[in-house]
Amino acid sequence: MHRRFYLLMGLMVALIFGDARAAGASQMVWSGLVIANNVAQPAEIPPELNRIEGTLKTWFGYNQFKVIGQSRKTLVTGSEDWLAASKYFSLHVDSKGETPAGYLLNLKLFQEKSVLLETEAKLGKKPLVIKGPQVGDGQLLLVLFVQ
Amino acid sequence: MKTFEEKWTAWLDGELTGDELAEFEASLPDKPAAEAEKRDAHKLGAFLKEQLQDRAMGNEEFFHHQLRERMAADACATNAPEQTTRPALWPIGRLVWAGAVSLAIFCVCTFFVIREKSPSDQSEYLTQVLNARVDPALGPNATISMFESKEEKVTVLWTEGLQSLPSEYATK
Amino acid sequence: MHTEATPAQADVSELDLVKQCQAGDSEAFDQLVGRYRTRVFGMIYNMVHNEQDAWDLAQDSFLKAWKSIGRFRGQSSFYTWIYRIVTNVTIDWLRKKHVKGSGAEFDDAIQLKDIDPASRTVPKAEALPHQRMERREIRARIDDAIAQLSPEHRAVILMKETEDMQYHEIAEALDCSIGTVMSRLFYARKKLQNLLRDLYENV
Repeated sequence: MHRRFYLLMGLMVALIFGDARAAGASQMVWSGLVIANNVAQPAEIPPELNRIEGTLKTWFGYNQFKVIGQSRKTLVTGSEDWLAASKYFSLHVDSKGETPAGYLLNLKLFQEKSVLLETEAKLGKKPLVIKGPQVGDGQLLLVLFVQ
Repeated sequence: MKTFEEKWTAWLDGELTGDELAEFEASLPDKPAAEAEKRDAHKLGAFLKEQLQDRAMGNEEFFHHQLRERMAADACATNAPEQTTRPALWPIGRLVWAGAVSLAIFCVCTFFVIREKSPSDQSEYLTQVLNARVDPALGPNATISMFESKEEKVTVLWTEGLQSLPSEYATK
Repeated sequence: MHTEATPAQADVSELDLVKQCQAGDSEAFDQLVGRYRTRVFGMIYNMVHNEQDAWDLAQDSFLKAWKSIGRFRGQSSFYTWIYRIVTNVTIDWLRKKHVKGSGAEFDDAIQLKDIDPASRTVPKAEALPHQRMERREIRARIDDAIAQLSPEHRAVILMKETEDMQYHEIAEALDCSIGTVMSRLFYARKKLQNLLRDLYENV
């Protein structure tokens, strides 16, 4: 009888924590460092950016988008991690909270060892595009969305 | 080096000339579309100019009169010595009363006003930028704006004034 | 609204007025106010969309100009100098009111005069009621769109499109680089095109 009781309690605890973990593990965040520029014969837009092609072309005025660093990760509330990175840029994230529809994040875009830009954002299903500095004749963009 | 935005703006306003103009127009991937965009921007400019003509100020004489009075009052305040002496500190009784009122307001705010929003109060699908900052060393004149692109429901954090970097920074 | 004198004459007399102001002559300052009050008021109104606030800010701007007229060295035109004060005062005020780049709200409903006060001496045919309603709606849409720009972007687009100021004049007024002015124009135009295209295509 006692054994059954403890077994039942253990099962309930496992279900509770398992459910919480499952909620945390259900959402993947895609992040990408993108160089946008204008060329005579643009390459096809990377598939991850298809959904925001119109916005990128209309608002930024470029016709080619190249992903120079990307990451696809599940974030864990309360922990820090590194997302998309390239040779000179990297994106640091501190996941501060979570809802069924996304994450509350502190994002730091590093340019080498310096923090270029820091933002607190609630990342839902809609993508977030951050305009970075001019790089050569192009533009650095940072794109994030929950998959 | 001028950014694309600067070149585009200058081209739109007819400020690009000579080699710079030729180079920029050659770099445009779709010149007819760009020309259409330029015409559209000019339409916007003409529309704003027409609609936002100088707003008439009612009662200009009163404006001048009021300004003169303020200038005179300001001159008196600058020249006149302190007329009354004010006590530097509040009396004890007033301090206690102010403290009690502040505490009461704090309690009201804590218990009745500041409540944690339930998830249903917030839009489930909204991506929001809550705040943002740029390192002043890397972007001393940088500004940040935010908007949402209606068509694809994309949230854009738009920065301006970041220092331009050489093309090697585009390396993977 | 603008002086009847030729540009050269206007510049000279304006410099004289400024010198007189610097010597403490408030009557000379009154004349300068008379030259610029309508444009200043109009510019501020287009930024803040409230007549009373625009009035107060115009007063504050001119008062500040009077107090600092001794520092005007004539390196820029007086017009650019006064605009710098006007934009600083207005942008500071907007920032304090936490008017953000997007999702901004109006403080008061927009009130449009039905009759242009300038028509006091010259009879003018009034717009028909439906035309007035249309103009109100158009104005409301424009103000709503402009309100979605940050104070700095508002200032740039208004100075360029309604005041016909050059890049360097705007840069001086806003104490920023010409490049920044051009970047802000790019963004402000894109945003307003996005918000108002259906309006200016059809009006």
